[in-house]
Amino acid sequence: MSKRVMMTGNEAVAEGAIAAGCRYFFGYPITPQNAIPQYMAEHLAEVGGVYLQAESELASINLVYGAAATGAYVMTSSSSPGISLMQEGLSYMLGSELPCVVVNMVRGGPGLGNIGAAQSDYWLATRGAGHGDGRCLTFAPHRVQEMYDWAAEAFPIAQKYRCPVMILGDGLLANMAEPVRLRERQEPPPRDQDWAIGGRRNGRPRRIVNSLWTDVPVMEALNIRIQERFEQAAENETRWEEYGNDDPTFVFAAYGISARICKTVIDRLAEEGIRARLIRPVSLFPFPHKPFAEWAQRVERIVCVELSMGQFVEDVRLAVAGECPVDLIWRTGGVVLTPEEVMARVKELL
Amino acid sequence: MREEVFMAGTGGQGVVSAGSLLAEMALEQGLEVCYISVYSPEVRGGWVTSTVVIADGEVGSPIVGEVDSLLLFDKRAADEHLGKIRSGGLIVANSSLTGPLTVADAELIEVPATRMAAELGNEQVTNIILLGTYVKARGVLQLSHFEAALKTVLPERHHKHIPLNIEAVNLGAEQVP
Repeated sequence: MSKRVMMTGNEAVAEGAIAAGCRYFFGYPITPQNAIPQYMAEHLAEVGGVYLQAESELASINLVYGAAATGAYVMTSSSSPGISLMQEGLSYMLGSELPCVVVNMVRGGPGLGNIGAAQSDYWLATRGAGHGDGRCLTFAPHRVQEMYDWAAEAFPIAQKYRCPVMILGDGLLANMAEPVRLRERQEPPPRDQDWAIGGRRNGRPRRIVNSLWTDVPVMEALNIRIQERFEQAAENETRWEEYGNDDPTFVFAAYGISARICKTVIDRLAEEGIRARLIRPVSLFPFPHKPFAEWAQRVERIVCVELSMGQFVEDVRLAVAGECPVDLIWRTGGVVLTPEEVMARVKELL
Repeated sequence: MREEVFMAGTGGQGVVSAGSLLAEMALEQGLEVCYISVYSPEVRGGWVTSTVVIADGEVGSPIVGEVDSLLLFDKRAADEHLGKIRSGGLIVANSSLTGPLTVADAELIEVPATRMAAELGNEQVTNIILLGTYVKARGVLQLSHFEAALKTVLPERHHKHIPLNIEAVNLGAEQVP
């Protein structure tokens, strides 16, 4: 087994993508994710890949569109305001049934905001991919090793469901360093998809990549096809982790960095004899409704912890469906909860 | 086991390197670790902090409130962060720059690290002296992992300074009463 090395979340997600066979990266600088394009600029050439700094986020996502249309593993990354700018391109990719991987290291917002860690792009990440009837499949790692691992998982998932996949991090996960066990870099898979363009070879029928469908029943059929893929993804790609007491009085709901904070809180509460458990969605869309629906029948309350003012809690409440009270502990604008603050606030609720 | 270490000082004092070295030592020792360094936007003279959380299992929160160990590099850091120490914790203060400190409910080791580093011939190893004191006093990490960690963290062109750094870390360890 390979040696573990210290890496930041930014470096890990970039190396994970290269190891998975990603050979195209288009991006535009923004803190707190600049180390991703920096890593790609330094290392993609080693494997014959293409790194290009575009003139804007709009250009980045449209370069991604072009590479994706040829069936390549392609990635871009940005942080909140830059992801806002990419929404049009993401919608076009969804409408053209094109796969790609987008990393969003979320910062404080709205507006240009700040470079603090935040989770306030939950709605953007789980409802977004711009306008129209669809969204991105979204996954939220909570450790640097998972940043690396999810970069590798995201590309085949994007190809399978032919849509953009978002890896959702934050300013902290982006810049903190943890040990990562690396795998050998793989060659990209062959571009043998039956939809990929790249010149008509051997007289095969012409292929068109397009998101303009003026014939309304054709558009409706496309939307149904996309929806069916999301249903398959819900079947196959719904992921969550549970942590803590097997007979809890209450359950925390948290994802990403907030879930890390909750794990320490659960350990400390256990020392005081308070029994708590965590449900951590790893896939945010598709959302893991099942564990919430089940635990809601068995506990006094569910306490949602997020670095946004009640975005994630909406999905938790939908899953809980009124079966038990759902409370919310939040900070916003780049302010991060400490375990001490969560401890104090949860004790007020109990 | 969960050990939360917080270091604070001014840009140029080696707060980032010290954090990075501590994390690398934990990794060498087969532990789990999370390391974050944060610094203000000033190019020179800004504040710098490093947070290192070490655990023998999964590291939960990388965010800390009160901490087990505090390394204070100068007076500004002491003024700002002295209150962070958990009851029963350990404070290692660079008394060359913090001046005398008063602590109610924690162990305080005052080390004139800047002066000692200057006597060794290079003020830049101030951070390494403080690191040595912390490692020896706290006993979570073993000094034997320092050299391997240093070789990973230090760019190869600086490897000629390894003997000086080893001297400094041992000198720091000797300051533990």
